[in-house]
Amino acid sequence: MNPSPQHIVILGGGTAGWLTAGILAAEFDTSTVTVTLVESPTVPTIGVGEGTWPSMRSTLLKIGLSERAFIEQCSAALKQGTQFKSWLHGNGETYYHPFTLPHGFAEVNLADHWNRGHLGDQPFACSVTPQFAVCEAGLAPKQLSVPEYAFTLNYGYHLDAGKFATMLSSHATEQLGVRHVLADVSGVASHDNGDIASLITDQGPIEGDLFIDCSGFRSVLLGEHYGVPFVSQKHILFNDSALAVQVPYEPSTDIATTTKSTAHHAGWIWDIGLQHRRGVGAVFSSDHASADTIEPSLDAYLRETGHPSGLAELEPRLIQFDPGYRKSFWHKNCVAVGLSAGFIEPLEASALVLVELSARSIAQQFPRTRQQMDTVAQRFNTEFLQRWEQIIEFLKLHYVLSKREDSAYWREHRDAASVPSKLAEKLADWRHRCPWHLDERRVDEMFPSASYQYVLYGMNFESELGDENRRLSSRDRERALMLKDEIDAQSSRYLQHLPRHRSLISDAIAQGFAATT
Amino acid sequence: MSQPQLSKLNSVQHASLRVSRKYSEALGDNVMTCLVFTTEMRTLQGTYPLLMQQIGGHSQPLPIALLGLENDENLFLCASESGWAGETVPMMMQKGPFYIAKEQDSTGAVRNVIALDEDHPKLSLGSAGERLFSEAGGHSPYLERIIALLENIEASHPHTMEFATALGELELITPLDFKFTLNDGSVHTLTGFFGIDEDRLQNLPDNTLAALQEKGYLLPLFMMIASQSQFSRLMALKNGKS
Repeated sequence: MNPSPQHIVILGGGTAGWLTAGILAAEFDTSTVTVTLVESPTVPTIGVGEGTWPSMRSTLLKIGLSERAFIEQCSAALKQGTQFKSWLHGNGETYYHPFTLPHGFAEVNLADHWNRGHLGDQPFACSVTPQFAVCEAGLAPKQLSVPEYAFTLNYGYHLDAGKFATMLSSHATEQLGVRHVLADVSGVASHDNGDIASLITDQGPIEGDLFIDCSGFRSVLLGEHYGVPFVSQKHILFNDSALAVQVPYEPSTDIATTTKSTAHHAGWIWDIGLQHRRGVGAVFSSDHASADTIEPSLDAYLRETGHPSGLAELEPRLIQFDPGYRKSFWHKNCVAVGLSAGFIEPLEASALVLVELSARSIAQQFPRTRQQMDTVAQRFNTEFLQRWEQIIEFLKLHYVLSKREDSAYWREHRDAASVPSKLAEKLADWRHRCPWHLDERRVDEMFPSASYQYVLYGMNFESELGDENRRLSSRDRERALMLKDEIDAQSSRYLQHLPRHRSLISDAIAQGFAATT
Repeated sequence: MSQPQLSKLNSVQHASLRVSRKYSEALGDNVMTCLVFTTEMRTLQGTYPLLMQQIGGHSQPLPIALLGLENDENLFLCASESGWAGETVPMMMQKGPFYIAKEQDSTGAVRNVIALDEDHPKLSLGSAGERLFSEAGGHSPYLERIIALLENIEASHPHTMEFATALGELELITPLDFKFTLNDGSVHTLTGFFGIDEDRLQNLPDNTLAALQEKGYLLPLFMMIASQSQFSRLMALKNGKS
């Protein structure tokens, strides 16, 4: 074994770069592994999505950031899931995909009972978790007396990606020993075996054992240098453009505690509430619409949602992307994390979680020898190809279940040729059986079967379950009814005792949570 | 837990009885919570989260110190000399097998007597532990301390019960349910406890606040709020053990 430390070099100083640097540097002692982040002083960074999964709580905890400081410095708010609007018929109907699993999910499949009408006639999410009522009421998922990162109802964050990168950067360089080099990279020097030996920069060469490409859409190392091909997924998920605006609001305005996703004729609009502004953007398919035809939809949306002047005085920014991912992510001694690995529309906020998972995976199986690296690379590639497939299937589900008939866009989304075969198989299966633990082949499945339940039954998917089967013995049914009573009791208790989201955020900044974890 | 069989302490019958002052799981100290009294909250708040919990048949939740994060867990038990990791030990934990019992004398007057749970694991007839009585039959210094402790508990009891009732009636308590993640990734749930509803406290009318102050409830109330930062200590202890 090599006694001298190994060097990780990260190229790119956006959210992906700094989050990766933070996760890796928190994992390793600087005497065994050093982390250097090279960032161009001239290339502007793109914030990848402003929504996170609940996994971000444990990521921040591991990196060693205080939740209070994070909320304060990143203008963050607490996200309890997504509220979908107009996805089914286009008539303003809504459903939730909350982060809290259905109550008693480990022991009873409430979806079975809900489908059979045992739980009453409320919407699915409302019938299986108190989080529905809490989101509807705009309440926070916890009280100030609940310690940092602990939760009453599961939550992730909405955050200002630019501020997040800045905070991670100071923490990584000041607390975790990450070396920060501001330099323009002009080329790559290679070893005989094709490995990257160093990055050639205006500040001199930067050598390393492993190079992590966080250079964004350009994919400087994996794409440009190694020419690893890009696999477009546009034939499945058509969206390739977004028109984004930042909408300031009064500091007294309630902050939404879910991402709001509202479908329009050729895509959907995201709406993410931070402390000082909302981030709103219309995602669309350039084959079905143009920025000019989308602007009126975005304008109307803003007018209907508390911003009466609409797009006037705002400067929409057009973002274009090719939806898809690289054919492999780890090649030789280079691995891509973030946009350089791939990007898909921000529905279900998969961008940041993929960065967390990638960095964690690199940290966990960090190769100690060059020989070992090829094995690790192969495993990493298999793992992340599968994750991308899982994300694409789950996103596609939202479109396949729609009954919208108002445009070719929605009809084409349901065209069997555009549906991944694995998803089609699952849907055929779920016609006769509610998804549950059987559907989680792996512990780290990207989306738990609960997520599938929320979307399927939020969008009126009909499961013909046939006769009561063994699993629905009378005892199981009694247990389900008990769980339903608990959910109702929890809902009314939480409605009475949880603070409003905005007031929790202000109090957390002013006083901090009762305890750190 | 079954009701202990109590017998009145007596210098003849209990002459050679010894009591262990140690704390351990085997000695019955592996409890998640214990009742605390208003008079001790100031000293306890720097070590334990002080919460409210519905106990037994009481109509209102009563104040408790949280000692563990799951049932039958006391994170303050350790391998030290005393077996307890905290600087200060709640009175109910200190008192061990002793109780105060009421006795009616021949005139019909009720007086307090010391009783003990004869089956308690801290009692022994061996050579280890504190003696209760001297050779001459007088109280040992240890027993004197226990008597003082029991008197303190007896004196604090009514105030604590009234405090709990007042908090309940003014709806100053709020359910506190949450999940937390340990360093090993395991998720744990804390449920069935109540904390102080600070919003309601802030919005109490002046005369109500004055009445709380008059009755000596404000100090323990704020001690309970301050104590919540001790969740950090419990989680650190739990992370250390898992």
